Amino acid sequence: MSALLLLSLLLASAGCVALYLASPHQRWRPRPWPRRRAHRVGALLLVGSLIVLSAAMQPVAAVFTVITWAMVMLVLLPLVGVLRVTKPAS
Amino acid sequence: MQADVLRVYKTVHTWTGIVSGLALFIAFYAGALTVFKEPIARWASPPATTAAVPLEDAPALIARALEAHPAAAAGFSLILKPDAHRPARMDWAVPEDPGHQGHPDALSMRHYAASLRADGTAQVDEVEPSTLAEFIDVLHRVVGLPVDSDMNRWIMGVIAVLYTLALVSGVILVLPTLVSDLFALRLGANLKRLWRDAHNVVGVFSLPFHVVMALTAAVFAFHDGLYAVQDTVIHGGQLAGAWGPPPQSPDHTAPRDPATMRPPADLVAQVRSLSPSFEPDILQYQGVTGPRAVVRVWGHDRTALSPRTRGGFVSLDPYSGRVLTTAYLPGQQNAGMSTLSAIFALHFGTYGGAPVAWAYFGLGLAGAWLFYSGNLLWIESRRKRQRRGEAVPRQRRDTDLMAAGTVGVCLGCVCGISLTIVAGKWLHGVVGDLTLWHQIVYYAAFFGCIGWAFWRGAARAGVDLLWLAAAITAAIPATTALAVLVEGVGVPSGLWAHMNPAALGVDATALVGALAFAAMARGTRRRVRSGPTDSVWSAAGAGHEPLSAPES
Repeated sequence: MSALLLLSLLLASAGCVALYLASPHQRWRPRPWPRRRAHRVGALLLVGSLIVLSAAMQPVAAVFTVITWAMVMLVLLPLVGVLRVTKPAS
Repeated sequence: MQADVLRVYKTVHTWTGIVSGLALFIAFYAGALTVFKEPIARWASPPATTAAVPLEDAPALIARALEAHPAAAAGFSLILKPDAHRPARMDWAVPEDPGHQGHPDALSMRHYAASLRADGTAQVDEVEPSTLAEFIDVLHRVVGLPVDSDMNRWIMGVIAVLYTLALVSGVILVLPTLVSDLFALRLGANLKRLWRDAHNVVGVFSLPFHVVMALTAAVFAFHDGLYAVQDTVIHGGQLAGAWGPPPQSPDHTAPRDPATMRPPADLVAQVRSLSPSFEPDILQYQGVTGPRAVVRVWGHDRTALSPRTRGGFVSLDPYSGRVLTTAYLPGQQNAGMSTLSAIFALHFGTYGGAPVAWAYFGLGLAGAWLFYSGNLLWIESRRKRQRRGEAVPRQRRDTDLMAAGTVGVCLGCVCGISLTIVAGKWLHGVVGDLTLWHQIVYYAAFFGCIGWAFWRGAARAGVDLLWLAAAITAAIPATTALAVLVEGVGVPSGLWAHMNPAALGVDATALVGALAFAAMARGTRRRVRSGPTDSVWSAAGAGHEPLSAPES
């Protein structure tokens, strides 16, 4: 995996985390992040991810890659949130 | 939105989902594995017994092989990087039924491989490459049916249309609460709400993936019919001529001598000069003794969309090296071909390299779970609850049947695929027709699991079959480990273990899958024993006797 691809996926993942933490249903923190600010940060990170990846591949392939990765992250984040809540105390 | 409108869409969503859900589970589970078709093919292929002919000797190999087998001139491939699943430098396949019209079934082909003897003559052998990965792909393409025929593709097409309807109606259903319930996964006593939240999280966030899959699957199923209509209405019956190179002048009608073709290494170098990021891997020759000789140089480009699962290609004249078309060369296509390629690439996930392949694997499994959870919601919606002070109610017979069918079909597919993968090594060299045995093993496990689910009831069978799935899936890496062990002590076992990342990745993924099934089995056993008794998933309820038991 190229360094640009890795960086792009990290940025996209961080963008999705920001969007998730802005939701009233998020389960990672006691309170959600301020919605507007978190949405802006999330959008910026996703656009940044796309710009980085466009330097490594055809723009249309970069768009599809970021969207695909974002879909996976957005499905996983609520499930991870539930696992954090239901994790048995040691 | 009006409540009666939503009710109509709910009915559409429920019934299209119920009718198509189990077929789609098979398509998605097998499809997730098909993302790694090549690693599975490598895992299942025995080690090559002879070294491939060096690439610089390929012109002599082609010429001698075609002298010995002139029929191969219609179509053969030259492998640039021979590997376990395609070990020979030159190979080709012909339909078992020479009179077959249309697309031949990929499982019904005779395969040949060519090499050079020490005296320079061609040695052509009929070979039996592993069809395991192809069989799993067929299950994916035709929703678990045994043969990739026109009729079965049309059945898949109908399922895809129902799937599209289920998606559209599902989106309309969640629209009123889309924003407020986004990311909601509410734990608590209301089990139905938890299942619905989980169903919606997966469905909403992977919606683009599902829209692409539904539409492309319908097009793949009916594309022959679409082409026929296009040919008649738009192209005046001339569409077939548009796919090949233009006809040659009359002086080219005499048979051509394949020995005079440009060396493969030259053709590869020429293609690399067209696109430096394109990495060729196979040269597919067609009609090399005829007037329309063509070689497609197939390969991959990590920086672009690939129009097909095997990558993209450049068409060249194998005699002159003239470029015939770059319409399928990744990154070098015009707007129209790029759009068409994007449709294929989005279905197959042929872009973005390994991260996208793993993302498609995960989204495929999540998709399979989506259909499974849809059935659970249907069952949960019809649950008869136990009121305080009353006996446990007998659940409806249709929910019992649906629960047993869901468990049987879904876990039957899982067990069947794992078992047929294991059989790929254990039955190699033991049975005559391994392709047939892959089918026998899969369907025996599949129908066996369905029968077991109806006999034992959904609750108990769910536990049994999850443990079975864990055991059979664990047998995949266990078979590899056993091969390493017995090889270490010098005992001939007929098994083998490839130590390349692709094959070891199959073992590692199967091990993770086995652990996941074991964890699910433990969780399901807990629910069966101590979950609410007024449920089809409880073994304690009054209405959960095996369905074979006479009704009182």
